[in-house]
Amino acid sequence: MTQTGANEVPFYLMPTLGGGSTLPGYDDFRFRDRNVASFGAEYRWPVFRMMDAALFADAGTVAPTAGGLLRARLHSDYGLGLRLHTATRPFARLDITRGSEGTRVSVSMSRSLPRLDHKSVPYVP
Amino acid sequence: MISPSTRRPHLLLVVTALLAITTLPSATSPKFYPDDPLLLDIEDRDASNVRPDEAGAVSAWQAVRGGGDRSIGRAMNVNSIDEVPDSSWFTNRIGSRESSLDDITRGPNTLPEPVPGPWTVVAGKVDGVTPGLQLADGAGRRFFVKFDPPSNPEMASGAEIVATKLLFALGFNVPENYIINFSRDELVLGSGSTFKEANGSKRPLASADVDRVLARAARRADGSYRALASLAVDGRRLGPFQYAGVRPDDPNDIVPHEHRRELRALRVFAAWLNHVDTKSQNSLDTLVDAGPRRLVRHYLIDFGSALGSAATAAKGRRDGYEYGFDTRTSVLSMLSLGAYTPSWVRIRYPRLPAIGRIEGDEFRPEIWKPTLPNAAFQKARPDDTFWAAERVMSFTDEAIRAAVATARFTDPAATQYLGDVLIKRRNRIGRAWLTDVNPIAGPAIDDQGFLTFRNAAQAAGLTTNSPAYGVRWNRFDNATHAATPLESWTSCAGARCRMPGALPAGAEFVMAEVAVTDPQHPAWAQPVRAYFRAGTGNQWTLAGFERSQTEQ
Repeated sequence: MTQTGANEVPFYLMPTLGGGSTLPGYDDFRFRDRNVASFGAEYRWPVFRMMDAALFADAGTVAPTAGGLLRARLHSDYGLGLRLHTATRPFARLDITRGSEGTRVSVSMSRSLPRLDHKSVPYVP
Repeated sequence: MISPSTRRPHLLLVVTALLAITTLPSATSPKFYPDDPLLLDIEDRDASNVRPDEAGAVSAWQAVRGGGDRSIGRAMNVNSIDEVPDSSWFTNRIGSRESSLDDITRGPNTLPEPVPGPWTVVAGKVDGVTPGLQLADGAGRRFFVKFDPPSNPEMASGAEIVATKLLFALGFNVPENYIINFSRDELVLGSGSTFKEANGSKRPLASADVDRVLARAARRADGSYRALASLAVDGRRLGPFQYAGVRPDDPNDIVPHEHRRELRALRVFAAWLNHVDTKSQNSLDTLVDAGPRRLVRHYLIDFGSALGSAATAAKGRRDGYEYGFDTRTSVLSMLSLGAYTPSWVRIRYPRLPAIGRIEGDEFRPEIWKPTLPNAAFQKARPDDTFWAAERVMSFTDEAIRAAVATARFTDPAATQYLGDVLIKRRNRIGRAWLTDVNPIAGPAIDDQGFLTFRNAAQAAGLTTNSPAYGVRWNRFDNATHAATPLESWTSCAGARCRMPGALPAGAEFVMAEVAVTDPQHPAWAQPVRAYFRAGTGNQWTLAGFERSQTEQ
């Protein structure tokens, strides 16, 4: 993923790296600048009917210019995660991530049960 | 006031008395009573005071471990000849009584079809993932209506119909289920009909609500709908039964459910039908009038997840091979980082949307699993699975194909395939469970003084040898339970064994031990015991039968 821009942007609207889906091994919004590049890979395998396990690694950097992304220091992390899911969608995840600034454990939940959608058959039990 | 020192002798006396009371009957009670074998369970107590209990959810522990009593003794509701008497749970049909093709295809149904004509929409709901309709036919009978998923037209309804027919033939109480077809303009809103929203609130049913439900159902090419209509069962709804323990307010429910043979045997039947969703919620107790009293009747319901169907989609590949949480596979998968590949991953299934995912070539009944561990299934012993396998093997190819035909699949290939699969799975059931124990069945003494029987495994073509049979006759004292050999082991001429020439005068009971010699099946050498009661003349009637001598 890359984001670039030439205009002045308030710092709090600048692209960021860290936490969540980008570099989860670092604090939220840990890195911030006008340009961001990040990439990641995840290997996921089923453990049982409602849970997958995942090994993942991420890397990314920020820079004031797009060209600077090539020269900036790359920040990386890696970790192990568990994903709970229904037959149609995930609803919770646990990640243990190791980055250069320490280890972070994160738990996130989404809607616990799928709402009715086209995959649900109507019936009265 | 009594001091502790004076209390102790009283306590000792009470304990001694209790021991005496406990041990007295077993020493003096006869093994067989005049009315043995009981063919009908004694359920003579009024159950009017039973209260509805809709709690059917299992705990997390039960979901992982199953639950129920830890002991795995002999099934407690078998009669003296190792059979299950008819009861509010079970009625002996195929394997015990003549079952014609008509009997099997009719199943529990009392109507040829629901009365055609406009259907009245009585109620609808969208709470949870189970929205649906209740429809009343022209005669005012109320049906719960389920639809097939758009991805698999005819699948769930077909699976439910076939499973209904076969489970009924096997002896269980099941609802009357029908395949119905209707177009949207045949549905009319009933006066006072209600719709239940996802939050549980009720409001008057609107035409748009019906459309919301139908929008998620499979439609035929002509725009009509095929659905499964399940007639409301008789009696007052009491909620599901559990597969462990008893219903405490039902005075007739005295055998812990995990020790009921028909529920243990359901493990075999469910494997045959790939009925993975055998959780408590898919059962129903109702309170019904039974002459002068009211009884609780126990039903199996909801077979939309049988055969290749998972109700809302085709079955997953792991269905039938793993529990929802399967410790071994989970650990292996976790530690191997996914490199561990269970064999079921590689099984190939034909692309038949009306069937979903089921096959017969890789089916291994011994390792088949429901989605959740089932306490009764876990208690099933070889004598239980033998009893069940005999019933499954009682279905002829024609009977199975007749049951499959009731699904009315549009695609003839689907009908042919499902029949083939159920025949293959039946045969694998026999191979797995008819050969585990001595397969002697149906012992009788004919009027010429010969013990006759059949070898259930040989009859099913499960041995390539000609087994040899040996018998040892005993005089049996019904009062003391003592068996005294009348002669040593003797060989039989095939499945006919001559009684001893001179029986002791006044012998009321004789007991024949029958062993089978077959190099392929060493377990058959463990003799079965058949007890016969003397009648008039040379008549001897079967009073008892023991396949396993292990009571606990």
